[in-house]
Amino acid sequence: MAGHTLLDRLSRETLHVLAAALVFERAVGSVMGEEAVGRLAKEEGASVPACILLVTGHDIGGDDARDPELKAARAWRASTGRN
Amino acid sequence: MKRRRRILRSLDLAEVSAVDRPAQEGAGAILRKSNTMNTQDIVKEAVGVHVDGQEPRYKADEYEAALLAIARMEQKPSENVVDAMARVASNGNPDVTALLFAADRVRARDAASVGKSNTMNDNLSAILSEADRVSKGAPPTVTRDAAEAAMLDLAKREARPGESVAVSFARLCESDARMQKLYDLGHAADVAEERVALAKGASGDERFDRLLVDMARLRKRAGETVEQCASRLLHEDATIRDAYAAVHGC
Repeated sequence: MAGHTLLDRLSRETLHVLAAALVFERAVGSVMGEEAVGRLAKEEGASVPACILLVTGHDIGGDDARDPELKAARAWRASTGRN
Repeated sequence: MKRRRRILRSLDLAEVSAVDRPAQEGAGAILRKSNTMNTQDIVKEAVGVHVDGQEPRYKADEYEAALLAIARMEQKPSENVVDAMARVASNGNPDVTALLFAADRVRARDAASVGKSNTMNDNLSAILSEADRVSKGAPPTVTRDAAEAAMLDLAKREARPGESVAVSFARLCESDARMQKLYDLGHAADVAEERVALAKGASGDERFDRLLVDMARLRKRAGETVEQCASRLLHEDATIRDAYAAVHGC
């Protein structure tokens, strides 16, 4: 299903932030905090709400009509029954 | 079949007339080699910077090279390039004014960037010293926010050419001991804040308070303490309010 998975719908920048958050978690043994994810996403030029939602599970709000990555993240959360 | 190359070694030019800026007969003609610079493009962009307030795209020395090219085009047989440059700079030519403006703007921006970078390095050094101190058992005097901001500053500073901040951040998390020290500093700051928040207690139920503080630690905003975030979550977050109601049977 190329083009329909969550990863296909995220930008390169957002994927970089997710990868960094994962490496951080593996390296220090703790989830990256919301503030740090937001800062990193902003610096990287990624979607801040999508990154925060995917890393911490917290939806900080935002119009997903304007942010297709946030829309994809929300859809993915909903598909896993965790929205 | 190998193509035979012909090299012109001697030629006489009687006239150079297909030019972008006509000059009077007798003006000098210069053959220049250049691989990148297009004076007209740079002038056009500089006018956009000067008149429309666009962000400059070229380096200051590229604007100045365009200025030099104009001076050479305007140079009279009796004057040298420096005098020609001084003359074109003082006669109010709008292209020259725009080039000077754009070059100044780039230099000002670069100077501001160096100042910002120095401030960032000073802050980072201070937080790294603090991390060293805390690793030897001293109590933290900075917040987790400050430690995490320093981690990001470190990633920015150590980013390799072509590497984004997030990629640099991930690389340093795996391989740089300073990153671990900064994380430990943030964690120590968190523990100190959590102790204060738990000592006060939000609900009177130790298990609920522990969950609330854990949640607050992850969701606190810049400049907010764990205790302040816990208090905010109790008011703002419907799930936490429901859990609080369940704990107290109300």
